[in-house]
Amino acid sequence: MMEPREQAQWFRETFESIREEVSKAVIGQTDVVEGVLVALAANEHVLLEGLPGLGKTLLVRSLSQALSLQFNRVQFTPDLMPADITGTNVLAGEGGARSFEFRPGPIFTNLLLADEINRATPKTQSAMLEAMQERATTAGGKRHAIPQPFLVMATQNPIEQEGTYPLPEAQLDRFFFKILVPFPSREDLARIVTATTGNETAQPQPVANAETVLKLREIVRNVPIADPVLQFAISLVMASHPDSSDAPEEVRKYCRYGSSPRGAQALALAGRVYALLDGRYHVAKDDLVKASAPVLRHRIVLNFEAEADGITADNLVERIVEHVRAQDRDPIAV
Amino acid sequence: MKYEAELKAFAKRIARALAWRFAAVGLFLGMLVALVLAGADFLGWIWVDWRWLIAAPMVVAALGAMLGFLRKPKTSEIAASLDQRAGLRDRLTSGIELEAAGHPFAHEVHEDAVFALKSLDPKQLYPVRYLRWHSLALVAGLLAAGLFLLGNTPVFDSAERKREKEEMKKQAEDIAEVVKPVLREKDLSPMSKEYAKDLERFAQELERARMDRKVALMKANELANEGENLEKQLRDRMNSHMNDAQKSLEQMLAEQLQKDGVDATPEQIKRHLEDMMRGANPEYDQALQDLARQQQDTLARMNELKARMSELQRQLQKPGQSADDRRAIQEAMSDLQEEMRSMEQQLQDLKDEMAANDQEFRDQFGNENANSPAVDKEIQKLQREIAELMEKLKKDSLTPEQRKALEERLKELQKALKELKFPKELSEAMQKLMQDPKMKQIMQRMAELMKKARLADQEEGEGQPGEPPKITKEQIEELQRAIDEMAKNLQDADFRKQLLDDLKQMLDEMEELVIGQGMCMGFCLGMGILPGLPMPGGPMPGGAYNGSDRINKLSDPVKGEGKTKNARISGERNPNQGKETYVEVKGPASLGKPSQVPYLKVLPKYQQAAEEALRKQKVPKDQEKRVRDYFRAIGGQ
Repeated sequence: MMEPREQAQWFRETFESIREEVSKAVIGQTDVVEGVLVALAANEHVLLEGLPGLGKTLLVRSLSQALSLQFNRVQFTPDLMPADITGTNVLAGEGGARSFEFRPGPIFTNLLLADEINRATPKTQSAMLEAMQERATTAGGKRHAIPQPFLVMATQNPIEQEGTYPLPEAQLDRFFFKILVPFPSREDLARIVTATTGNETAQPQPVANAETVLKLREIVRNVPIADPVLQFAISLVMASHPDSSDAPEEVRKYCRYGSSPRGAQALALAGRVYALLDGRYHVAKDDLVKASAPVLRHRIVLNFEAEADGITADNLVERIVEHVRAQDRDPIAV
Repeated sequence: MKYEAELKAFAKRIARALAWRFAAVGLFLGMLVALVLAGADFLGWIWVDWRWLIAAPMVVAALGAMLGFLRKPKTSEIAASLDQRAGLRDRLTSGIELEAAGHPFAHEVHEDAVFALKSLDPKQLYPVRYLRWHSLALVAGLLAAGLFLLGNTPVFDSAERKREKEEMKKQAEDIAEVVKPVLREKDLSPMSKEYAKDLERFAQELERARMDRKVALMKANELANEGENLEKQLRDRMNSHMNDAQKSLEQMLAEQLQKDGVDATPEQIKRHLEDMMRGANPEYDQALQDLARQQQDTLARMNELKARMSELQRQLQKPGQSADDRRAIQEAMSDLQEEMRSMEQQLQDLKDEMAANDQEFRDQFGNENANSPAVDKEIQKLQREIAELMEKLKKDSLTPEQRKALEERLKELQKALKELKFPKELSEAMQKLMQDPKMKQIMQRMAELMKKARLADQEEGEGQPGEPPKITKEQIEELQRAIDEMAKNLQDADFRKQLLDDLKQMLDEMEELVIGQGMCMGFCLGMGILPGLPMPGGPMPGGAYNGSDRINKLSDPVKGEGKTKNARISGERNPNQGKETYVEVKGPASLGKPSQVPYLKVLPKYQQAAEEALRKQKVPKDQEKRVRDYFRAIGGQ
């Protein structure tokens, strides 16, 4: 058993090595990579939102290579059935020895890329999201556990909403982070073009494995969070509710629903990871602030007025953080 | 706890910084208080000394500093504050909590926190600097000072207002001079003390001279009434005790006389009690002697002047005098005559004074025959007449009728002699009673008090010579009634035992009354000498009217009762304007019931009615002026 100091040190080094390897293939997108790794360390799933061609698949593939984990990719379409994802019982064997046997779907993997998840029917979405939550599927009355570590990275295309089935709030809440994949900068784009059009393409080398990931998750859970910091996280969540007395004026005006308790849980978990990455042994309020946007942006439901005024969830999250920080005054005013 | 030691330096610095901040807040609050005080002063609600305006912020700031210094923040508060100020990312907050919970990471967090603390300087984190509270305090202070100075500066006053202020200040000094010694009296009753304080406050208000003349007068009237009421209450109380004491004294005297075998009527006892009191009042005799000496000196001077006048007349009648010499002699004679007239006036004044003193004594004691030498002379006269009658009776030549008539006359003379000689016997009996040292002391005190009361009455009567001292007279009348009643009714021996206590109490009451009288009189005197204040009654040098009796007449009900009837006249003043009816008042209007409203309160209303009438009616300009002058003269605007 390692000492706390050693655990933290090992965590940071391992995390950095994985990031480094992934970054070999995924040029730029530092925050996206870090967000995905944080979700991985927190044992949670990620929803990526971005335009096609921004390297989402590459990211998952690279991650699987760096972690030596199995990787699957499912392209969600309207005709995709739940069994297509979770697996089904099929008649197997020959002669009189035929019997039903479970044929696992693509979800039985360590890293799953659910591409354009909003194009599948709600039925299929629900089946997958249930598997994400339970980390197991049931077929023919038998429960089948999904191997650990398990990370789903679902993607959404913010444009081309025609014929899509937007994920309901309850299902969005299952995702730990919603990470926005930005268009790369000019420099990054140049590097991407150069790296991908030549003869040699950088390939990530395995620097970790499933066991490493499980250990990372264990260390994360050991990081303490002091009560004032925890209260800060709760304040952030409470301030996202328009009917709360702690909510800022903008939230009352533009927000229809606030974050669920999963939001507070996600903040605490993400804060732990960020604390370790910062070389600390405790969670700070700054860690929560850092995690607030990816944690809360998909948990806040905007009303029509916000849409009309061009207010985004990120605007509100920013305002919530300001508001809660302002309330968290120095107890000794001199 | 480990963290307490680590944070000790910060805790000390925080205490100082908090003291500084709280002092600044206190300074601001104190300045606000000063601003409110200055505002109240400006509006004339209260009287504010400039020292209060300085003391208020200083005191509140000192209290604030003390409060701030004594406010000890908790370790967790210090930790949270440091985390925020130094950007420690909740190291201290988390560390303290983990330490308390015994978390496995507690040690690492503590080391991390201590390492971060080492680079921090408490002075930089908690600086003692100029705060916005200081600016606010400065602004409030400037406002307070400005408001105060604005209200007190004479720059904006007219010349008349400046003069009024000066007069008020002078008056305030006079009142304060009277009140201050009274307030120092230890044995003053609560009522008297309260009244003295009211006067002191009034004097302070006058000292500031922020009061309007009319308001000052109204207030003065109220205080004068209050003083009179107080004086009356004290007097009533004293009279009650005095009656009791006199009854006891009378009872004792009667018993003593009975014991000595002397028959005495209540009137005789009363008369000799008065004799005793007069005997215990040597200052009175001394005053009389002084007056007599002054009279003799004046007479001697008069004789001297007369001799000089005769000499000048002789010189004038001598022949051969030049015109200049004669003129010089005539001028000298004229001067002498003037001086003699002045001396005659002095003589007359002295006579009046002596008569007044004698009358005063008689008023005090109600004794027309208290002159012992006169009584002795009468006794001697009676004795001589009796001796002559006895000689006549011895003669045989008398007819029986003559003898009988002489015998009856002899009996009458003997009876009269006995009555005249009785006071001597009574005095002897009372002298025995007076052997008691306590009684001597009491009589002495009584005499002193009477002297004080008499002096106070003389002061009150200044400007109105000849007015009898009304308090003493009333007291003596009460005393006489009490003695009469006592002679008939009082037989209780136990009551006599309380004599000395009653007398002492009576004297205490009298002392207080004398002080109260002095205070009231001093105040009234102070108000009276203020020129320019419109007083009812006689005219003052400034054209206003002064009270001929007491200034409180203003608040007395007006008891005007006109006897002349109103005459209603109808007629046409102007044929073009139709008929009009006039009501012409021939004399003082009949007011019905006496008014209970002070004159100055109704004056503005009457003045306003007059102004309105002037506006509506066609009145010549000079007559308009006359009306306005009239209202101005009686105290209007």
